[in-house]
Amino acid sequence: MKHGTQEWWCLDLGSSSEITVQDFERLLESLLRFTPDLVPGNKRVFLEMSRIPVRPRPDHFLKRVQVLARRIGLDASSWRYGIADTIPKAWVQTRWRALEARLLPVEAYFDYIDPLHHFECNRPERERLACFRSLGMKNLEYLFTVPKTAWLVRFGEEFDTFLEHFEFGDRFVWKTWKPSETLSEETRWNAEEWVSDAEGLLFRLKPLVDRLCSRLYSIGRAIRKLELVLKLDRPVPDRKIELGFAFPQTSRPLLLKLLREKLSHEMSRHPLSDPIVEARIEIRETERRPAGTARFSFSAEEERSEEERERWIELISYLGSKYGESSDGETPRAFQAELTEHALPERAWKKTWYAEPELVSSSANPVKRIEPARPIVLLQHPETLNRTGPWLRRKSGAFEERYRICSFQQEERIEGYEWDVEDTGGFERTYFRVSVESPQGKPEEWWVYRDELLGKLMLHGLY
Amino acid sequence: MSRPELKALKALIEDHAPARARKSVGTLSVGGGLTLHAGEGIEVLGPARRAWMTAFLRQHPALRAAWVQGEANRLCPPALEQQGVALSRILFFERLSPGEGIELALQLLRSALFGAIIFDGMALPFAGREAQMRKLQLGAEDGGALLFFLSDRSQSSFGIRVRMEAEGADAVEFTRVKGGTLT
Repeated sequence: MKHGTQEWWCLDLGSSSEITVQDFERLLESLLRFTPDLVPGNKRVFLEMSRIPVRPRPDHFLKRVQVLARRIGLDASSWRYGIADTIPKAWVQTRWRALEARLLPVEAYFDYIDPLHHFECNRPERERLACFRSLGMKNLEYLFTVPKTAWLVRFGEEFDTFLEHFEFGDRFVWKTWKPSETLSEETRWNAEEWVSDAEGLLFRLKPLVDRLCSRLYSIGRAIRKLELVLKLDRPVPDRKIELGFAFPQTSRPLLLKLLREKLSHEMSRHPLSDPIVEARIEIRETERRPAGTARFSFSAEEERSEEERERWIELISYLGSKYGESSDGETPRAFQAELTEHALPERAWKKTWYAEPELVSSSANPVKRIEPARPIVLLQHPETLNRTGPWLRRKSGAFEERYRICSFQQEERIEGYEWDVEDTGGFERTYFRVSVESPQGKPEEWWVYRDELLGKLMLHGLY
Repeated sequence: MSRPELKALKALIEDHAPARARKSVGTLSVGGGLTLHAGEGIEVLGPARRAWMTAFLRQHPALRAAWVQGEANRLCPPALEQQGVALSRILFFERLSPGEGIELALQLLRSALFGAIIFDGMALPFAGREAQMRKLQLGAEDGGALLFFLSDRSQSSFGIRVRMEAEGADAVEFTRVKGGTLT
């Protein structure tokens, strides 16, 4: 029995999407990271969030759910959410989006009666609706114009349930979902793809281990014992390999390492006689993972990085929708930069936005070293310069400013043909790194090019 | 309330207030070294301010940064990559008003994913500047980030701890250092 005000977040998975039982279970496992109180329904999930100290913003929550669903392979673009203090109200709010409950269409009558499963009316329900409409009742408000006793006499328990859920939604009885004690992941292989050594087998098993670790993270458990079942392409008993751990494990690299050792040992003793057609990893014994204790410190780093990755993805999705691509064709105001192969310096990169970028790691991003160094600031429209003796004149508004040349050093020569640069035609540029002194006496370094086709000196960048 | 009573009350509050551990985010190696703590503001002026910023990011490869620009982007990302700054750790924003910039920065700081928020060419409005700075400072303290203000004109604010004039990536002149011994 719960006390105090509750806060139910209803996640509506849409009526059109087809979700298998297995995928739905995985989704529920993923949602456990928000709250332990989950109530599944027919293509909908209710999350009780009142006890969560730091609740996500609802739009962030939806973004994060979309990312989690994408990992499972579900399209969550049409999913919606609604928030209310009871399950029936949360469902009605999600489905009908009405601010005033009494103004809801009369069809919502059945949503109140069975908020977990009702979606489409069956024949008796349609007849009931027809009966309401024939009495001139378009929305729920009209139901209350007739004395309740009259409805109770006519519809009995059904109307009583409606009233209970409509007026006292907290009397609605639900059952909290609990994740299964056994986790299992399997994959089928083509018998022609012969795997005979431990390394090859481990390579094929890695996606299964990844998925299992991700699910374990969601449900907050660690592995005690796992069993690998290999089905061979011959009517012989399945090959079973058991792996027990002295300490409960959650770390993916460590699991793979232990699995490699075990498989090497097993394969050397009993080599495989036939191709494998099916592999399954089952985890039957798990243990609750108390976060932050020294015993599990080896996995804390990975856990943190997983959390960080999720927060990063959530943030990127949110910022992408706010400042990124817009429907009115406006160029995005938020972007990441990606290098491209192009002769023109201003087109040697493009704006992009990754939904799931890799986490920062200096080793994962090998730095390209292109000589000579390009300037940090690149002018969108190169400015024409006039050279007179030791001076360069740069236009500044209506006036021209005179900069004294300190050094003028050729850097590189870039050229492109018409077929390389279709919209601007061919070009031939000789770039110089120029040190100048501003009229105020401050030193500056410019990236200047001479357009060999037009014979003009252009300022293109600032170091 | 008398003065000794006030003093006693202040001591009591200080004893019971949770200590705010100051997280070290980076160091300025120029001029003998200065440890920078989360929430501190660094103002970089001068023609080479972006070059200096790039050098700082190269020195701190673990920092994830958001480069928030007031006008259309003028940065040349290949140059950043050339200088040793991995582009995957930088988010660029352009054409944001100061209000939008502050809102965005607070959002980024709340995520605690960024080590540096760089305001480039974005002058905070004079009215309410100190309040905005304080908000940013508190957000950055909690998010473990540094605040950089790249500008061609100095903005006077109490939240700026270090102010420097950059004439080259490694040629800077400090014009203000609060609580440090840079020479």
